[in-house]
Amino acid sequence: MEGYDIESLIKDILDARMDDALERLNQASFRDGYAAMIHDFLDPTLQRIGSMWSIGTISLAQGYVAGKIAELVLNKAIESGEASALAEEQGVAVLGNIEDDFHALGRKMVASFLRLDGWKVEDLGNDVLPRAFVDAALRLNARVIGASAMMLSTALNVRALRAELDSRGLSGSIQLAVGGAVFRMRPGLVDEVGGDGSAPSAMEAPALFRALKERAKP
Amino acid sequence: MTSMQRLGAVLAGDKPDRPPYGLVCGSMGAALSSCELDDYYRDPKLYAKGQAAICAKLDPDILFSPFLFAYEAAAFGAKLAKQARSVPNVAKPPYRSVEEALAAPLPSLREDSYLRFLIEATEATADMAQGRRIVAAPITSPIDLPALLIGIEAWLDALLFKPELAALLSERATEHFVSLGSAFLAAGAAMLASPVMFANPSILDEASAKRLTLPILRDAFGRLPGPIVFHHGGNAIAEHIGLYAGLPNVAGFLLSERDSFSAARAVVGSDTILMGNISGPHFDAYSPERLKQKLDELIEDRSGDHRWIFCNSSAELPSWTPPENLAIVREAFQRGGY
Repeated sequence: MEGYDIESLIKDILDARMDDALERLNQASFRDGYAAMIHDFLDPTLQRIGSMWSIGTISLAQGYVAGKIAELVLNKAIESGEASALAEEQGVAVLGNIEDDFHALGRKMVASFLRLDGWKVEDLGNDVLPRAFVDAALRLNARVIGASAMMLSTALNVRALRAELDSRGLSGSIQLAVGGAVFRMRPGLVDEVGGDGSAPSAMEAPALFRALKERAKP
Repeated sequence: MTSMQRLGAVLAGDKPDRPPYGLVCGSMGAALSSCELDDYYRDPKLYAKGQAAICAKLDPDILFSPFLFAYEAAAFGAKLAKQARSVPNVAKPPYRSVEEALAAPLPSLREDSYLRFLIEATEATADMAQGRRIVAAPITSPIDLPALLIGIEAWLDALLFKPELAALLSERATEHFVSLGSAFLAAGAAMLASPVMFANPSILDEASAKRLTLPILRDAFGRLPGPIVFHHGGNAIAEHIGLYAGLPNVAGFLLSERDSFSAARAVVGSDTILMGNISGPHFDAYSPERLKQKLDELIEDRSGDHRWIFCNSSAELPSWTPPENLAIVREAFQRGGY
């Protein structure tokens, strides 16, 4: 679609001018509908911002604003009744902070970007027990579980989730994405706790979840 | 040289006999003194006993009082989540909004049991050290305390979209910070150490940090009756360290493991104390050989830098770190020289 000013939208988001950013997106959806606006305007903008985040040229606050805008746009799309913009064709992703972890921001941002990517997100919240993750994944036929942890002491609790998957014979068919600040800081921790993959930022979570879904055995 | 003479030399810009060193081994002290973590983080004397056990293994120049920011939040009413082998975590912030936080009173240093523990543990550790080692007291920075009080998301929201309310909450956080920091110093801490996150461009962009959070730090640090170490707070700071130049009472900067000392030195010059930088939470994962190699590389890198203090970066060492790793650190530094 022609006429989308991606550069200006990026600048609005990075400068935390949320009203201006939402106004641009509203105008685009009014003209072209939510599906086109999300696919051709918001998505490419967030991909550009995600690239900046992964190389460390933008801040958490700027990523947070991007996530908040994604969430607000999705809510408006739901209110508008444009179901086609939210097809949820990627399937179900189960998210939660691992047992004893209460740092919700990263998980919430991942949820926003996954929803925008067409995932139906089952967000179990903070301090989730391994069994609850796996029960939810089985109940909803999810192929990917995302477990978040901020600190080493709680990240190590992901091992119990891996053990739960193993003991129920589900490793391979349900993939385990892990994320949080500590996974960026401690090389090898993903393998150490039994994760199947991680992403360097919340905005790159959709690509990771898609790859893991492809890898999941039927 | 004694530890005090050594650190005095570093502070004065003279050449010490070897680099001073210390590690943040809060919970590890409980493990080494066979103390239940619950008791350890309730009884200041048990904390000091654990630090004495650390001294027996590490023989450091610097000791640390509890690296336990969740207790500051608990003093305001936060719900804590205990962990089996680590410091407690904040399970639920005490307030749901800036407005709610502004309406609540500040906790009393004398009456609140969490704050009393932190102050008395500092005092007991300093008493145990008997002037042979210095004690540094970790404290939540006034620009990060609000994140513990209302949650990271709400604090980001306030900073970005309700700056007037954010400023009011910062004033209250500053009041708490200055009171508690002064109490730590009065209890025998030689310096404070404050991880700073919301002035780092990886958390808040540089322009916003200059406008919103750095003025708060300038005010708060300036009101302290003693020195403070600017801790990297989990993010690299060497690239941005110039942002923090000129903050009052800053005795030095504690760099992250990802930071280059040379890059930081190029900005701050040769007179500023730099500390760091092997990550504390990684200490359990190193084999003795690998740890020794890393220490040797670091000592070689800092050869001739008389204003460097070795200290772990990031958070405390895991409580399950093999005690031999402390002995390796002691050996690496006590063999002397630069």
